[in-house]
Amino acid sequence: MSLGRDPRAAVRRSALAAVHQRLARGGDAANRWPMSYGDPDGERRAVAGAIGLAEPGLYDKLIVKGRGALAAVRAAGLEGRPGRVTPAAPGGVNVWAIADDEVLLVAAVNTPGGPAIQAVDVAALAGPIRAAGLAATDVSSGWTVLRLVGPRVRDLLEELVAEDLSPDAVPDQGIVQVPMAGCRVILSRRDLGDIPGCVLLVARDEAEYIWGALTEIGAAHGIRPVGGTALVVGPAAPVAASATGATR
Amino acid sequence: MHEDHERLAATWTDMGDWKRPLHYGDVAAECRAVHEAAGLIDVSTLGKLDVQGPDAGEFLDWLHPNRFSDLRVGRVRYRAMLDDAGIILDDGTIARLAPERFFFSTTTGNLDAVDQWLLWWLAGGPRRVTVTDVTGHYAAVNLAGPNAREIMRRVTDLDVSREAMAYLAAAEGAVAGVPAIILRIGFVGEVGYEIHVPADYGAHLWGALLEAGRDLGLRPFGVEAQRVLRLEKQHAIVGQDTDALSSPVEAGMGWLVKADKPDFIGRDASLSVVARGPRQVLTGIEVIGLDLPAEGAAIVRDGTSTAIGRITRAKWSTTLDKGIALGWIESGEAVEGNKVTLRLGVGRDGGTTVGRVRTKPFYDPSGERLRA
Repeated sequence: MSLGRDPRAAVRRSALAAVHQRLARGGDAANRWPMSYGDPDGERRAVAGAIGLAEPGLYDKLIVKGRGALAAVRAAGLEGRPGRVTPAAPGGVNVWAIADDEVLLVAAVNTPGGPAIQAVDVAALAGPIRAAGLAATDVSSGWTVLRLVGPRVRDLLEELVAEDLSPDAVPDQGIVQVPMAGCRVILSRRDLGDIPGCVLLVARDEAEYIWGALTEIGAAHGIRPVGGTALVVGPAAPVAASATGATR
Repeated sequence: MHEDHERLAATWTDMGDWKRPLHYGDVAAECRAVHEAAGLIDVSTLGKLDVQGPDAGEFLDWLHPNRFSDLRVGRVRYRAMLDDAGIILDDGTIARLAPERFFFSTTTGNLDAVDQWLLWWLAGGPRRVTVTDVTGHYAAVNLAGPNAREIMRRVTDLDVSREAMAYLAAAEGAVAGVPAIILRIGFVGEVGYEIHVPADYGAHLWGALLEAGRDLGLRPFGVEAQRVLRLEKQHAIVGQDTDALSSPVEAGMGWLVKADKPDFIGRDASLSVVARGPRQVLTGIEVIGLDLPAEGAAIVRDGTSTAIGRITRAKWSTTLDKGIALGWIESGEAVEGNKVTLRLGVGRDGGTTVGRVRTKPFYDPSGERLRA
């Protein structure tokens, strides 16, 4: 089955579509990707001074499993290091090498209202990977990508996660799997320029709950839901790329 | 699809970690739509596993009393999983989508246990099999009823004719413009299509099907209607009609146990039940009168006070215009038409009513409508 979809025929909805609509108060985000919830300057201030919480976009995801998974991914022309995210240029495939035998390939897709990118077809990688004897499974809808950025992100994570997530323990682009508010979360430290940050992969069916938990517990740290515009650093860094990959 | 169910004024029920629509206001009308036109139910909560690898078929054979290594690509088969003591742990279906790729469904509440069970049996072993939980990735609906095929024709270019997509077929293709896995199965007594799509498109699929079936009498139905419809077919619900002592041989699934298989989990225990014969069986019981026995109520030998079994589920079928039930009963009493006394409450309180043992499905016993 191809991951390729006909945008004229079907509407792809985020697990957080209802959240975005509520935050946009029935505005443009009802049918378009939320680049802002109506106060882009305030959202940028949250990112610069406290914490911004965003769903940066929709992503296709292919999980590769089996002995030699990372080697097969490399053979398919992608870079990857165990325990690290290897970011790609905008529109490319971000390699989440959870372990030697489990690799998640993550690539942004175009969304109405979101930044235009030259999206790659992750499904095209499945064939050669399967031919190498590995299992490749489309899990695009199974995981939701969340982005936390801001100088107080570490304070929030200290409250939510028992594990040591300090820069010494988890280097930039490092991956850890942690329980957060009772749910399994795959976390990668990913700063935005000089601003601390991380990317969270959360199960689709728990995404709204996790969003709520982050918002509630993060209130004391000044957390604020932000649209894609607030995550842009520099003159032209697309938000979708900044979520899981290159940010500067 | 949660918001879509809210808009349809669903009454919710908790099932495991999930909330599911119990009904949309009129259970009888929902049942009638499935039998006379078409019904649509959200079954996204089913557990779903992607099982791949050169040893996947043999591994599934080991896990189950029936065979999957001989399942042809493009076919789906019922599965029930046993523990070492031959007790039913879980059921669902397995479809073969490619020579080394199987799509495996579990009951709503047992996903984690089944996933761990598979990983446990793979750990440290030589089998070249990988298991990936894809429950969150796929939303799923079941479209069922005599108009289901016509509705499918309106939303897919796949050939859904009886000849091309026969009962127990499995196919991949676009439905409402979305890549889908289509299983030609159903547990509600009518032609049915279980359609799995990436969950990001679940709401789109739900809306597209309701729109396509608007002039064909399609309406959504909930878990309560599904329970009635399943009971009309005498389909057991694992965990509701079975318990920690239930063997497939006694639960009416003896056909699953393939004695000629070299080995599978629960083989010795299952074959010992076959050898000694079932002591109790799960059977249908027609309830005479308007009162329905409670879950767990005793089944009593007619004319005596000797308990010979217990009710697991009883519902009123508006289609059949009578009460129907499933219950465990001593095997010697499970004779077609046998008259029994049913206590209405658990214990001696609440009075009694009369029942008749029915060993065949209450509705469409030959299965012609399901296979149509």
